Amino acid sequence: MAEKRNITGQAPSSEYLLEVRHLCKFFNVNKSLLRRQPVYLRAVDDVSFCVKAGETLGIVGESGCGKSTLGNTIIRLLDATSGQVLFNGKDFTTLQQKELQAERANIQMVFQDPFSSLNPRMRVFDIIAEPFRTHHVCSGPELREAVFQLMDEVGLPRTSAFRFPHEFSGGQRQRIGIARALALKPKLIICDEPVSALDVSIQAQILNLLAELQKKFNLTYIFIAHGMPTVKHISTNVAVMYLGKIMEFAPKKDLFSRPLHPYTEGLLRAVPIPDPTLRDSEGTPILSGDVPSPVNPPSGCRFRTRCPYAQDRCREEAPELTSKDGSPHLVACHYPLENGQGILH
Amino acid sequence: MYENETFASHTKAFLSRWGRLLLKSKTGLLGFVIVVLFLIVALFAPQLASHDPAALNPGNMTTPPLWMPGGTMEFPLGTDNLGRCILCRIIYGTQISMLIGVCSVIVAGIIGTLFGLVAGYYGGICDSIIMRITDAFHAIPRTLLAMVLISAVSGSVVTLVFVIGFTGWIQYARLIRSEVLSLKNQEFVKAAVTIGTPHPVIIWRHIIPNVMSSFIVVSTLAVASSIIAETSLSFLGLGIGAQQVSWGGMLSDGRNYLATHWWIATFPGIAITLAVLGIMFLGNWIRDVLDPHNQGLQ
Repeated sequence: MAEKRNITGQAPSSEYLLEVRHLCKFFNVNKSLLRRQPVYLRAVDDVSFCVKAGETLGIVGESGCGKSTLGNTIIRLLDATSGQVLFNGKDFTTLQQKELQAERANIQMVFQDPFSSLNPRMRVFDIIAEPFRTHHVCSGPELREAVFQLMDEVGLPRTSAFRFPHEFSGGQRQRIGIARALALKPKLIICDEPVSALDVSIQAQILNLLAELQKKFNLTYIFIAHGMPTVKHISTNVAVMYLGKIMEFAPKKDLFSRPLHPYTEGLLRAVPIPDPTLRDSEGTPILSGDVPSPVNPPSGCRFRTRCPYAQDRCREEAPELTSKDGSPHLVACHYPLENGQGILH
Repeated sequence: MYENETFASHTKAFLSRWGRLLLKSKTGLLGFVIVVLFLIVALFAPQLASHDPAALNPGNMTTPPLWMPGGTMEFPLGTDNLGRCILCRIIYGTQISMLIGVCSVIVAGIIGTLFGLVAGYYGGICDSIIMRITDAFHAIPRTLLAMVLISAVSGSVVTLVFVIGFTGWIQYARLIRSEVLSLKNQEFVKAAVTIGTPHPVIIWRHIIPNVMSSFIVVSTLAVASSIIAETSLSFLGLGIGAQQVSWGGMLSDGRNYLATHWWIATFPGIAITLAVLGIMFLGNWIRDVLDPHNQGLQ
């Protein structure tokens, strides 16, 4: 094997807007009255990656693989068990309450469920105005103008400002959520499956809106999704997560055309191909079975229980996320695929 | 900050919707009418009552109601063993019952809501302590606790309000806590956290408005049980002293004469039943209307 290059040791932090170093989030699931031995659910287990300003990092994985927990830990809705989240070189995980309150303006979130992400008792105007009021940005006529401008930005009619959330469709509600996230002019927006609750036709609209806004305000996105197609639409880099660990991290094109990890290949193969003539004969998905319990993950490589190519070494030794030839295509596998079946176009 | 027009039109729409829904429900309407009637009676008691409720009429002791032989127009529901007009006493008793019913619910609501909010929102050790206290309270019979408290301090309207309120906050604490537990995991609360909104503001702006509907429902029903609590304490001789009239006290006065002069205890009993029933009907209707799953009513 050629020189191993670990992602965290490769560059000065100034180059990146966000640097996540060895981030862990464990939950104690042994909540019995006599808490003798804590039993941990390793939702996020030693995750490291970097995001440059203006890029989009897509994070994919099956349900329960820890991608939402990762997002929540980065934005400090949850406190990290260990590790660092460097935002502009400042460690977000150790900020004191006051500093954190001010710093939060830089990282915002768009949530998955457009129905529970808006307070049903507040009017749209007040929902979008909340960030301005909290940080005392402006008030009175200025506030009014600022809120209306945001509504224009995300394509909501100004006349709907004084309605309640239940009077809107899912797509429009998601626009309200995006407007709220944009209000404080954040540098990074974490999108936690922002389109998975929407109709397919609306999904494209929202994705295009997000892409437009990214260009306009030079935003950086962390885009969490459970399906490959959405990530492909919007990402610069893609991280594939499995049981709390990153399995493969690569520029979008590389990952989709030549996956190195069997899990990535499985996820790509799981995407239905509309044209039957393009399907290959062995096109059946190679992923079968369920994700093992994150409380008691398999030894060695976590994917080995479902991996068609697993060998003895996979049981004994956990592979590290490295690249063989110094390329930005990182993979955590002892036996990366020689000719992985991706999808081109 | 809104245009006044928009606000006014919303208020109007809100009122017309509730009015329409009220007309649709028979029991709701009945409850509403009964409660309004009792409130009017309580407010205008001095105008409605023809006699002083405490005035003794030694010449007219135990006069039967109007429709029985010996009954007179002067005392439509008869007089008690001391010759006091029963109708007038019921009218004045409404004041006390409504006052105690509403005020003790406010006291219980405030104590219980505060505890419930803190326990549910902050969780952890706070939650454990508060919930153990409510468990302890739950294990003590309410009347017994009230009796102990009242025998320690003298009985008056204010003490009764606080005693009934203090013994009734548990249900609020439990209800509000469970509502807050589910609310705080909703994404709009998480969104407020990521915006940087301080926690007390989140509770005020996002949590409280969303627990209000269940709070209102429980409160209406609690008014009924507070009236009953006052009645039973008065019946046990632990109510407000003899100089003020209350329904429970009237029941207590009349129980020795049930066999010979049934009207002394029966009419206040009917008043209690009617008031409690009316409030229950209204409370149930409010619960149905505020329940978003009740599509037929929307």
